[in-house]
Amino acid sequence: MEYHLLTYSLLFLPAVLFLYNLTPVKFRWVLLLIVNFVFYWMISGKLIIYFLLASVITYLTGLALEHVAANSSLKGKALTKKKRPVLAIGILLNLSMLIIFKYLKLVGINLIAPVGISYYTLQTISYMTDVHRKTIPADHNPGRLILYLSFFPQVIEGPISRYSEVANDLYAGKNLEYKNITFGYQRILWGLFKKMIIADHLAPAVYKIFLHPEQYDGSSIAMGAILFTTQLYAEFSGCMDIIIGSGETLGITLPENFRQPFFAKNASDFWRRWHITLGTWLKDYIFYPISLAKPIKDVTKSAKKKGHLGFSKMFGPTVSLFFVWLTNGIWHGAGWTYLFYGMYYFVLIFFEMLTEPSFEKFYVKHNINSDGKILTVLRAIKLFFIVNIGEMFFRATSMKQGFSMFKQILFDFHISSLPETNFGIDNYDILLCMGGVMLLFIVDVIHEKGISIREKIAGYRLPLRWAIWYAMIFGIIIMGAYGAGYTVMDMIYAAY
Amino acid sequence: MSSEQGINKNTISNIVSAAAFIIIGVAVVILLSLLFGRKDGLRVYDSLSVNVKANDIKSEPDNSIQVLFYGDSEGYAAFYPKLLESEYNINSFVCATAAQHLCDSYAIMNENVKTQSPKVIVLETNCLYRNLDDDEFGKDIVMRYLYDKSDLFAYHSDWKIVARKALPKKREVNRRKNRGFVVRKGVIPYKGGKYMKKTDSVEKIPETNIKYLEQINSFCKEHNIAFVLVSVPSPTNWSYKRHNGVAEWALSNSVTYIDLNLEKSLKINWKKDSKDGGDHMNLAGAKKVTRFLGRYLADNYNLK
Repeated sequence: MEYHLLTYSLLFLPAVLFLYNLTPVKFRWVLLLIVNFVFYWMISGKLIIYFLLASVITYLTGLALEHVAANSSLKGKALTKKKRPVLAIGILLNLSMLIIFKYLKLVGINLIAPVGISYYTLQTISYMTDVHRKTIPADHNPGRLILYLSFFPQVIEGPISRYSEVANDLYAGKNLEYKNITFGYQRILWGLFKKMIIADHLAPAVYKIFLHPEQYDGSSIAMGAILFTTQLYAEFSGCMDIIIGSGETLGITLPENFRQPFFAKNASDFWRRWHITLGTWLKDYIFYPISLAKPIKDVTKSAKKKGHLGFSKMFGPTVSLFFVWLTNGIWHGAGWTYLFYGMYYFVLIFFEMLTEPSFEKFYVKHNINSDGKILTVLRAIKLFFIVNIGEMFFRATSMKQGFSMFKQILFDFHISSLPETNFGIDNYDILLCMGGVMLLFIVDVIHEKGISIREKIAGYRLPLRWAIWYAMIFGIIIMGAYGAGYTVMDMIYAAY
Repeated sequence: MSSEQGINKNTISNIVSAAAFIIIGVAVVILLSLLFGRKDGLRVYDSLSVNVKANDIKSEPDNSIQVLFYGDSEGYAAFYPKLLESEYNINSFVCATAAQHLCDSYAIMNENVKTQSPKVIVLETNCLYRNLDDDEFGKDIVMRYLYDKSDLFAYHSDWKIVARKALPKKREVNRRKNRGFVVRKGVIPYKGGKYMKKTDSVEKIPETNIKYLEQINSFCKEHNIAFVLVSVPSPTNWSYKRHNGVAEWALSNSVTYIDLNLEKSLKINWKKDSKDGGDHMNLAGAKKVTRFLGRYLADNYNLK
């Protein structure tokens, strides 16, 4: 059962809320745990066994790390060194399952992976590492740990939360609140709007262009890349709205995964706003450990001693950045296009790191306001190209196809052929998507200004408030992409 | 005590408020369902396609069409009205639509006879095996329920019919020029080898479709129209089991059935006549199918 299905939001979630409210506070975590298992069983069947195995490994690793620390006279670095093999075993065991299910297809072995393995594996690693770092204590209650790893709204495609962010709230059995339920459902509604009005209407056009790009002119391919980026943003952020809204109904605050990414200043800022929880995970568990690793520090120190100040400053961050983007690419799947996608952003962000100080100096020297309107627009245009080119390679079926599409955009671009292209969607759906994207843009502008739209609407008088929500509900019912002539698309990021 | 009363009051007010919101919402769904419901009372699957086809044929002169074709994409890729007219002097129109369901064929027929008096109705048989309950809703039982029970959900796309009047109609005009036939010149050969292996086993037509098939048959009798079932060559979709299923029904209901998958005189060349590796006919394949049917219709029905 995927989150965008009405069975989820109109049957499953209300049933959970109803039962949750009937259950005594101290047993609510048990109910949630049962619900999580039922939900996981419904989406993954017998493969739940691998999820449980990963949970047991994580639980035991946490206890083992605590045991080593408690029974050792060592302190500081010596203790860390002693605990490290325990952490390594825990991580390797969980990673091995991810590798087996996700990457053995490289050698021709195709296995059906447990749903959400890419997401819950990252959560197990973050938990074990945080226990190792003593950021959190090891949880002696396996129920609470599994509750955190398996929380039904986030188990399919994140957000990748930390134990410290949600575990205690989940366990506490908070009382349901009217405001949480209404606000949660309002967010679910907005998510359904993005998915059913924008993403699923664009899906046939994207499919058609990426299926046989050789049949299209460069301008149509460029349009295909833009449509895919729009589809992906509306789809992934829409599903996140449903997921985070579901958590909200239960009083659980899940971390945000999107923050108006297209208003970013550059590529690195984009990744602080797009798939945020993956970015912060990579920063905390790849970037910092590598930056602080002894060999990196040794090279940096030695370069500093020899007077290579620039090199010593850049070496650590560059090596760490490389591994961050290598991991990002590989995490998305076993394909060269994903690897390229990761390396594409590595190169871009590396150049940003190199050139940013010079640009800043230039702006100061010539008294240019770097946040002025002209530079903001130019930066937005640059980011628009960067993101769309990246997503085009990400969506391409092979590197060959990606480069051939890029070549067509560069050398066979005739804007006049665009109106003649049959994108496989009718004029009404094109107009509808344009209207939907416009609304999405306006909402993003308002959010960027730090205004909460739901709070604002909640302050209106009842008739206006209800009219807005009814308009949204009936807008989706009447204009949503479902029924004859449409296909309700699966969640894109559930496949990664 | 007063705080408890306050909480209770607040809780009751919230419950009333939520219940009122839901009740008004349901009432609006019911009202809009009346608005979106079909006036003829027929249940259709793809309301938009039905509407387009019903309107397309209204642009033809009244009582000018002798043969009407129904079915799914197999039909509009294979029946070529212009050729039928130029070589056999038969006026025809293709009312097949993508993934047509039998209920939609029936609804379009009902509309068509308001302005036309066809002598023959040809139904391409691939749609007989498109189960009405097999759709994209999959596991979404709530959506399935709402779609079945509420005309607002079932015919929600009809908002486009209103919008249609305000938008350019270029593509529709092109379609009418070909009278519902979709010209596809590309070739992707079928490489799968022999596909109609003789067998006695039967793939039954789904029950719901049988009901609609019977309705269509009665409708044809009522309007004095000859009803002909035709299976267009398609290794991807057709089999001997399906042939047996259709033949069994046709025989017991005295309906003519022509399976072109078994018709050697058609001389389909699978290296040249398929648009997509054995699924649909391309233009070359469509010409062969149409010529065969043209001869058959001219010889067996009085279409002058």
